[in-house]
Parts: sequence; C-alpha cells; structure tokens
Amino acid sequence: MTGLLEIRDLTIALPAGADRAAAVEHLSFDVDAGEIVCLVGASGSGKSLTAQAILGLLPPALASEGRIGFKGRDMLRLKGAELRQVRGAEIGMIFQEPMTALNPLMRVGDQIAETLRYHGHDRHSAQAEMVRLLAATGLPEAVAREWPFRLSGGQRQRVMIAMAIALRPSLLIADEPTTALDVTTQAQILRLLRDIQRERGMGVLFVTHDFGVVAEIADRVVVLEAGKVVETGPAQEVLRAPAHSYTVKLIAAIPVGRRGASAAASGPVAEVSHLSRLFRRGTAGVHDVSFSVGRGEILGLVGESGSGKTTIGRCVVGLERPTSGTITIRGTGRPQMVFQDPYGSLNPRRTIGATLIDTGKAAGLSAPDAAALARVQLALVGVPDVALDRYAHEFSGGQRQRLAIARALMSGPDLLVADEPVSALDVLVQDQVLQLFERLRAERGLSILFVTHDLRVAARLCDRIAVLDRGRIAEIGPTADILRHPTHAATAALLDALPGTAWRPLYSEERPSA
Amino acid sequence: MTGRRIGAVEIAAGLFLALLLVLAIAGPVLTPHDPWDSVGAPFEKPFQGEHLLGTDVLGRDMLSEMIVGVRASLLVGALATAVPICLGVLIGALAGYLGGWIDMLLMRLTEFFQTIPSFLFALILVAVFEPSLWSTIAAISAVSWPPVARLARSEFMALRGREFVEAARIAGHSGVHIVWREILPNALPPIVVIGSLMVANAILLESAIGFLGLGDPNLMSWGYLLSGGRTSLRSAWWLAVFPGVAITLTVLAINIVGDALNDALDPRLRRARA
Repeated sequence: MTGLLEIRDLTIALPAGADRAAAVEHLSFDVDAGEIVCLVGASGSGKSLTAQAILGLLPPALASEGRIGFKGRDMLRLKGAELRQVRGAEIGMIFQEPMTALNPLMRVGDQIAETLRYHGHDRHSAQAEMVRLLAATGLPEAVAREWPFRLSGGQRQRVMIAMAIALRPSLLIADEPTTALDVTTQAQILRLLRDIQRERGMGVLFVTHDFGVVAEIADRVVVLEAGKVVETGPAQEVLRAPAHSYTVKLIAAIPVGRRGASAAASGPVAEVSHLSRLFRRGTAGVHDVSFSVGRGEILGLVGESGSGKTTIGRCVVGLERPTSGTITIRGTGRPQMVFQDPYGSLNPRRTIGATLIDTGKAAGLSAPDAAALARVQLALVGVPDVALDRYAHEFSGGQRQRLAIARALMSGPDLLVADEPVSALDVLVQDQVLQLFERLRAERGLSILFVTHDLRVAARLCDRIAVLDRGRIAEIGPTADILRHPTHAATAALLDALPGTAWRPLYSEERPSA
Repeated sequence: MTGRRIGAVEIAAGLFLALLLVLAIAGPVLTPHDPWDSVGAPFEKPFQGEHLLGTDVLGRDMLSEMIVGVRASLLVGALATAVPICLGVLIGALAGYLGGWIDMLLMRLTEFFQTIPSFLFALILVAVFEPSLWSTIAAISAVSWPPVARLARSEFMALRGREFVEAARIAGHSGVHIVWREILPNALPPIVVIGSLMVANAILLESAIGFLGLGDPNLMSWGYLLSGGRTSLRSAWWLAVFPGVAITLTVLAINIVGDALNDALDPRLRRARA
C-alpha cells in the first residue's frame, strides 16, 4: 500500500554550533489517507521542523536531504508556483498559536474567503463556501464579521481549521494545535478535528508532546527522540505496550494521582479570607474567596484560564492588591513566587550568582552569608555550583525552573506560590521538577500554593485542591475526594475534558466506589 | 544563534576613534600651521601643493583647521549626547517604572519640549546665554532628550511586567535596585543605538549654530568649517567635503563601535561566541 505522504530518509541538518548535527536524521514514516498519525516527542526532538519541511517552510539556512513524497511529487524539491498550488489546496496546516496565525487587521470571514479566492473561487462562491465552512467548524455565521482579537482562543482555532480545510486538502498538518488552549476547549477542538477528518477522509499529521492527546485522537503514533524515530505503530499498541525504553519512560512520567493525604498539616501559614479582586474591564476577577494553607501542605488552585487562580496567587505574594478581604501570612519571610515561564523569570543580563546573592541580601543577610546560602540552595535544587557565574540562557528549561526555585528559597519563606511552574516543561523534566517540590515539602516542611490547569499534576502533587469557577471557589477539599467524587459541575467539566482518561485514568486502578 | 565577531571593520573603527581622541588632546601641538593664520593663497587645491588638504577662502591651511576642529566636534558629540541620554533615561525610567500621575506629568513635560521646533529652541537658548562651547552643548542637550525619554519609558514599561522583575519585587528589593540592576541593563540596547545616532545630530546642530554666528566665534570645529565651506561648494568643493567626510566617518565609527560594545555587553552573545 502506498501512503498519501511518504517521508523517506529525511535528514535536516542544523547549523554548526547547535547541540547536535541534525534536527532529524534518516526519518521515515507514512501518513495514509483517512488516518491520524501523531508525531510525538519532547521539545527539540525535531517534530515541528519535520512538519514545516513537508510544506517547504524550513528556514533557508537548514539543508535537508531525503524525500518527502506526496501524490507522486517530492515536496523537498518543489519550488515557486508548484509549491503554492500544493500549499493550502492539497495540504492544509494549523498552528499552535491561532492569534498570531491570523491577520489581526482583517475580518475573519474575509480571511477565509481570501484563501478560497486565491485558489480560483469567484466572490459569490467564496462567500457561500465561507459560510458553509464556519458552520462545519461549529461557528455562528456572525463570526465572519468579527476581528480575530474579539474571538476566544477556541474560536480562533476553529477559524484556522476552517481556513486549513477550505480547499478540501487531502492532508492536514496540525502543529500542537491545542497546546495553547484550555482543557475544555482542547477537548472540543480534538473532537472537531476527528469529526472533520472522518467526514472528509483526510490524512492528518498531528504534532504533539502530550500522550493524553495521542490517546484521544491517534490511529498511529511515531515517537521521536532527538531527531530519530524510536518507535512507530498503531496507537493502541504503542500506548498499551510501548516497546522502546524511551516511550516507556515518557509514558511513565505522566503524573498519576496519589491517594490519601500526607501527614496532617499543622497550623496555617497563610489565611485568605473573603478575598475579592475586581478588574475594571472584563469579567475576570476573584470574588469572595476564603481558604488557608497549612504548614507543609500543598494546596492546588485549579480551573480554566480566566477562573481567577493566577490572580489569587498574585494577591498572596503581593503583586496584586485585593479589592477587599484579608490575607494573613503567619510564617517567616514573605511568600515567594515561582513563575510559569522559566525563560522569562530570570534576568538575562545578570549572573545566577548575582541574582541569588542579591535576593538573600534583600532579605537581610550579609554578603558572605548570602553567598554561602546560594550554594546551599543550588545543591538543594540539584544544580551544580558553577551556575553562580553563568547566565540564565546557558541552562535548559528544567534547570532554569530549578534556579527560579532556588531564588525563591533564598529569603527562607514558609510559603511558595507556584504559578503553573511545570506547564512549559516536557513531561520528563516536569516529573523531575514535581519530585523537587515533593522533596522540598518533605524535607523542609515548605507549604506550596500550587496554581495549575493540569488535573493530572494536581492529582499527583496536591494534598487539597480548590476548584475555581469564574472567580469563585466551586469546591475545596482533599484532592482525591474532589477528583474522584466531584460534586460541582465545573469540576466535572474539567475532568470530562481531560484527554486520555480512557487510556490512563487520573488515579490508577480506578474502580467505582460507593 | 552565533555572535558577531570582532572583525577588521570593528578594529578599523576603533583605531579611527582612538586617532581622533589623540588629535582632540594633542591637536594644537601637531598642526603644521596655526589654523587661524593665512599661510598661502586662497583656494589652493588639495593634494597638489605644500598644503595637503588645500587652503580656504582666507588662505588658511585646511589640514590644520581639520585637526584643531576635532576637539570641539568630539566634545560636542560626546557631551551633547551623554547629557541628554542620562536626562532622558532618568525621566523615562521614572515615568515608565512608576506609572500613574508621575508618568502623566513627565510625559506631558516631554511632549511640551517636543512640540517646540527643536532647532529654533536651541537657537533661542544659545542666544540667551553667552555664546560659548558650553552654552552650545547645553542648548543641544536641552532639545535632544525627549526622544530618549520616550524610548526609555516604553522599554521600562514593557520590562516592568516581566517575570524576573516581579520576582525581584516579591523578594523585597528596593525600587532603586530594581530600576538600576534589573531593568536598566535590559533596556540599554536600543538606547545605545539611539545614542550613537545622536552623536551625529549633535555635531551637525553645533555646525548649524556656528553657521548662524551664534556659536563661539573663536572656536574651530568641523561644523564651523562645513558651514563656511558650503557657500563656495561649487568653486572649492574640498572646503565642505573634508569636514563632511570627517563627520560621516566619525559617526560611522561610533555606530560600529557602539554595536560591537552592545554585543560584547550581552551575555547571550558573549557566550555564543566563546
């Protein structure tokens, strides 16, 4: 059988000085008509570059060899007009970030119609087809007259899908199309892609790092490690019985729920009472939220984006001033924060040592004490001492997050507020950073207010969770109780949207209980 | 990403600036003639007689005039850039970091200065003061800081919300520490670029002021020579071309050295090169 897309021996060389010689090496796999193939791998494994190579979107500096066969043509050798005919018309593409993929100064309907008109539709048929496409992607017709910035992330991604399938391509390339979306929106978009793919018999190459998503959508899986295919096969087989050690490792690193609370937390280190934070515009905000964090407790704040979980965290560390209500900190030191983006949270122009030592000095330590403490904290988070003289860009994402944790510990706080600290990390690195949080709690009695959208992470790490729904606490209690027996619709919706639960439930050996 | 290397161009630019510095300090001793003395016939062509760069309308030696002019031009270029950069960064940093009514007040002040045609304003200032090199520098500084302030403000506003700055706030650092140690180093690159362009502007503004006779009449500068030579551009091209080329080369050299300096100060590029 011949595939719709046949990639043979694809090698994409990286410029000299990169961390390896080639982004992908001797890559071979097929995508057949009517199937969804997931290309899975950690960041830097070359999966996105492979997707770009198919449409001739590689940066000119990267040399490529091999063959990308598509309907008897070699996509690596197509140029100019021929390539433009294939792009859009025969191969569609959707990207991770729909806001930047849409023209901000053009109405949504016009953008969809533009694609159609470029490929031969007249004004009227383009208009009519555009309306049909909006309907097919589940958007109301009125959306056609909107600007991209007026739409939600999910609606924008639907518009992108409408544009990508406008010309009935036989192959759709989706590069992490749900990574930037909420879980509930992600579930909707995955269902939409699956439906459209079935209905049109398209082949889909779906690039992702998330095995939960793979379990939801894939027919076949290609696993990449550092630019090489390590395993490929039907999704069911790979997910149930991974053959390669790397796949096994990736799947094992997916967080699994922990049952039974750890040692009862003693006296609260922070009490939040009737906290409200209102914003002038929009509905986002926090309304009358009360909770406390015990010593040595990890309390999770979960919810969709816009549910107010980050705002609460920012109020606790003092970055945001509450409109009303009180926050009482009982422990030593001000609560410190660990941010989501490990690239933005360290000053790029200062050495790690300068950052750590100054933080210690700001907390009242003498310079030699601060320097000594910096070494202690580095050892604690597992980064070698030489880091002191280096700059943030010399470290990987996981190491930077460790360094950010070390900085937060410099002033000896009892409470850390961690705002999605593992969301930007690959699953293997995420596992290590979660272990670090667990160790800090066990060894140091550190309390953590852990803000996350990821129920799997919350289930593994948190003793209690508070589920937030439009700025209010929907329910709060021991994590396993809430996630296994949700009583509020918001919790149920989050659980329902979690990808891959049929394959890998939140809690292992899940059995119905009374 | 690979860093830019220190190549021949950067070295040449650095040597050129070093030469100018030597001339600025020791120029009057090194000149073949007194630049104010008539030493030959007027309008002697360059590269032909004993006067290498020819003579001007009064028969003064052009080479000597050029050498002596280095000091004033370089002084104006350096000071009339450094002063408005410092002033502009200070005002922009306060406005951008503090925000609120302070930002409002400082930005209205900046706009007030920007709405006055800057050259006329500089002329008025020079006319009010005693004509001297210092009043010229003060006048140029007074009209050049607003764009720097606006640029610094936008940089500070963008960086203020960055996570590493928020982390510093939570850690309890003082405002001065945050502005000086955390934000400023990250805000500098575009300011260095605008600064190297301002040097040229300062040199030219000085020449325009000199041309209108409002500068120090006893001061030989490239601007003074350029404006003197403009009137006879058709008959004696060299009178305007030599100072013009000198200004262009200086500005170019400052730009190149500024860029290299900027790269050298950026740890990301520094390590990439190593």
